[in-house]
Amino acid sequence: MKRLILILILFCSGIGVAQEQSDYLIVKSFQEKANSLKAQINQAASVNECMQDSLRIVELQRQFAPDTVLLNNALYPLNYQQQIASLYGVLSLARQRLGVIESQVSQINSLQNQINALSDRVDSLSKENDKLLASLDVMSKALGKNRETIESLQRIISRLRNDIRARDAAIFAMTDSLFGTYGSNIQSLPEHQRSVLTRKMERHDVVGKIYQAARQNLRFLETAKLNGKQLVQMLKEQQKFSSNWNGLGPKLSRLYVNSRVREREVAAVDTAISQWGQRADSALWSGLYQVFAENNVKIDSFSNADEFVGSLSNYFDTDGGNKNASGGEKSSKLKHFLGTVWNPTIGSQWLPMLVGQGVLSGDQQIQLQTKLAGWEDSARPSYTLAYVLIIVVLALLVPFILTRRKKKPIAPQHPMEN
Amino acid sequence: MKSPGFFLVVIALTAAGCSPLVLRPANFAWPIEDVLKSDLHGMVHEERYSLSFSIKPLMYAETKDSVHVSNRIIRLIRGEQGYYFITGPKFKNVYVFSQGNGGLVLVNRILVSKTGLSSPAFNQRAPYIELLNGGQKPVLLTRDGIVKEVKK
Repeated sequence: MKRLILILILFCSGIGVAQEQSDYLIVKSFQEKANSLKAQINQAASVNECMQDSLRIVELQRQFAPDTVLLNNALYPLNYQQQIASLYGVLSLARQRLGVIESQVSQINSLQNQINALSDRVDSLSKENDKLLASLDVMSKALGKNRETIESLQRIISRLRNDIRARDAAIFAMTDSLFGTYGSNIQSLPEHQRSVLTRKMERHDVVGKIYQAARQNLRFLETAKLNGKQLVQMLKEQQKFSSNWNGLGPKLSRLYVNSRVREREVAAVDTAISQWGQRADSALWSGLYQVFAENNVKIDSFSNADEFVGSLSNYFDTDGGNKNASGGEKSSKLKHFLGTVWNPTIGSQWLPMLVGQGVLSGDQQIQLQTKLAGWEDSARPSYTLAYVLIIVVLALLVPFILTRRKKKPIAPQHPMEN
Repeated sequence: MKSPGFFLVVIALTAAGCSPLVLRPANFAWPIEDVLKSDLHGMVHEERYSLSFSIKPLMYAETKDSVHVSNRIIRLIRGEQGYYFITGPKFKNVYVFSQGNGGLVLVNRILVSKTGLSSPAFNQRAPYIELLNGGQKPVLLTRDGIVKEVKK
């Protein structure tokens, strides 16, 4: 009987161990395959590769399906189910990472297209501006010949200004896009990324374009005869351009740290922008001074906002530059100043424009208006004597009238009335 | 004078009171064997169950050499009843140990190959331990020895 039971047990055990493979090898094989798959998932370079890895996990599960119980018991510290879940977890993370990367790649491509388009636009605008500047030069020499010439000159100036503004905006939009793909911290970029960025900057000739823009703007300022509004706007544009360059220049210097030629180009741009700034500044203040000079208003010359306010304040304080003038002269001078300079141009156009563009402060505007009001007060004729005379006349007239009323005969009363 | 029956009852009750406390049933079986490599001092360390012991006496018993004991591979598995089965490549025997006071105590030495095992491996086949050796027929072991060869 005992023998029969033993044989039965052995038979049953025999069915269970029909395979001769070592359990240890099965477990080891699973672990190696799972680890290899995990490494493969971590190295996946696209969402498509993740799809393939997902299929590999399914295949792994299918392959080890008969050993699930063994693996669940034998694997440690993570059992079979947990290891499979871990693989899917890694896969999910890889998908997210690659999804983000692919979206970034798409963004970079889009930015690259934008950069190319902007670069082309800068080139075409620069060429057009060159032609317009040449036309402007010819027109300026012919100025005064006829009304048509003047009108077409103004049209060219207007178009040039718009083109210059658009070109400058395109240049800095292009540089923003170029640097935008690499973040703001250029120094911390890996060497290969720095060299890629440098190549892109050189391919689009960023420094050359900026230099050309600054020189062209300077030439425009020297060639065109601009009105006050245009001069103020030009100064503001120069300040904006300069501010953009101040943000970009140090980045370029860090990028071209090993290139002396490029360093010299960056320095040349600095100089060109600085010259343009000085020219824009002096053109503005000389244009403003011209308004006074053309109208025969003699004020001290000025070359900046403080000097302008000081000079004009002094003019107001000294009653138009002549403190000892008679009342009549003062009044006439004030009338001339208000009629020719202040009301038509300075007070109504230049001052609001200068304050609006931030060239003059609000306090400086108030200071000038207060000083002018003071001059107006001092130039107005005095009415004190007239008031005294009126009072004296009234003093004499009132008693006279009262006396006349008293002497008036009283009408006789009728006896019948009593 | 008390009868001998009385003394027998007293002895029986005393013996019952002194018998050790045993927690049953218990299962000590490891799901798979562990393959361990000895360090320079002939120690092996099993991490999952926090077990370590010296294999010097084992190597001496098997090969009569207790000097070259580093980097030796042994295969270890614990059966359902708590006995440790140990063997290794070129071993002729499977050694069965029980846990003793600060060491493993040999319970049985089972001769499994006259020429030495070429590539031994244990499988847990409760209540037995299966011993594989390359392409040879597996055998089922208990503490007492080979139960029988497993049919292919």
